[in-house]
Amino acid sequence: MEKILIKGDLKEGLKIYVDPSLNWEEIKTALWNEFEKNERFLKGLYINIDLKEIKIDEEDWLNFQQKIFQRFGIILIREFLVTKITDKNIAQIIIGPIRNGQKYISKDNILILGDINPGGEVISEKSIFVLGKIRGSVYAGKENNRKAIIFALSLQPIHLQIANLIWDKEEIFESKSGYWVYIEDNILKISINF
Amino acid sequence: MGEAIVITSGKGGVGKTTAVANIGVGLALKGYNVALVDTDIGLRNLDLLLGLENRVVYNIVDVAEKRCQLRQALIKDKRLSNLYLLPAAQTREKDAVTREQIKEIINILKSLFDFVLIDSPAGIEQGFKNAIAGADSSIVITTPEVAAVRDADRVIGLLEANGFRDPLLIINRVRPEMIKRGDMLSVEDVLEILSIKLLGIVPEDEGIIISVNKGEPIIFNGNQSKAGTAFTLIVKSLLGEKVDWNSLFAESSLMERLRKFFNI
Repeated sequence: MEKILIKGDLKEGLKIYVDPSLNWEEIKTALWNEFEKNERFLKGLYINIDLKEIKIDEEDWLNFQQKIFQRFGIILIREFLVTKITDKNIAQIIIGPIRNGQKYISKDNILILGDINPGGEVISEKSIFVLGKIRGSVYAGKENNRKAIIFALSLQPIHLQIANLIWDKEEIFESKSGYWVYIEDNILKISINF
Repeated sequence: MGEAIVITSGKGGVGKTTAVANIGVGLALKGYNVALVDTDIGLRNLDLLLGLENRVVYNIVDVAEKRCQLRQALIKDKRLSNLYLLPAAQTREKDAVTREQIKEIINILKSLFDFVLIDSPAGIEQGFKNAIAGADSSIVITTPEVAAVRDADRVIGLLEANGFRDPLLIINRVRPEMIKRGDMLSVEDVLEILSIKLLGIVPEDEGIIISVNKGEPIIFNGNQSKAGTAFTLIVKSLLGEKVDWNSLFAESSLMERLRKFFNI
């Protein structure tokens, strides 16, 4: 395949396809050469470029975009195709209330629609989101996943834990907009935003 | 085919047997054929509350073990000819009958009566499992106390796990003055945790003690007692009739808050 392929017409718009085997440095060089060759035709145009899933540093891209515009007057627009989600984020949805004596364990995130009553337990290796009151026990980030978080509309827990950190203070401040529980600087923190 | 309703609570002493006796009498007073079944084997009380303890000859274990016919064990109430009691055994234990045996007995009773009310023992073990076998629907009794509500929550979870989709709630021994002072859980507090439909509430009433001692369910006193009135209203509510709960509480503030639960 050609290193750079410009397709389309001036009416519908132009799109640049790049050889996927090239790395970002090679692409930049190829683009620069191509634009130099066709400077007169391309000046002042918006051109889309399909860079597929090549990981490019954001600042690097912006710098390059600017340099191209300053030198050639070409506005280069990177196309972001909506491709597959690379990081699967699944949540088990459970309709509450989670009652006294009930226990839910999952490897995935858990979303509870309703309350967790005293004596109810919810355990996840990932995060736990409760659109309701936590009055029972919640343990997120099992297997030492310190990135796990907990959200609840109301917090009056019997037990609150992420990874190996357990909430041990009596008072939790009042919030009308919910509570985020997470680990930061090796401490379990509760705040109204995350 | 009649309907079998199990009355249970988890916690002991919250008023299951009293509710079974009074609701049973209330339904019979309305003309329905009612059978009351005591499954609290070893600690039977239902016969006592109905004043029928002297008439017990055969019991549910005798029926299960085929020592007698079901009709021989059924005791007709001394006041109402359409109300019958199947008493529990006193000298046996909860494992004396199996779920299947109970289910069989309940099925036969359903073919003979409009309503079969099953009095469950306290707890969540074999006695409870037996009591729910064969029931079509359930009523959970609680009092407005943290311990009772915790146990009720547990029991509701078990009922739902056993296929009882919409358990109904009775909150017993309610003391409006204490709720007003903030010394007792309110009806809303209880419903917020238990999240099931409220069938009715019964106020604390000294008359209950007297009625138990006399073996005369308090609902026979009609409007003369608060608890009796409450059970009358609960029976109406159970039958889907329109209920005016205003007659129960003088305190209008409590009534206001209860309005939304009763769709008045």
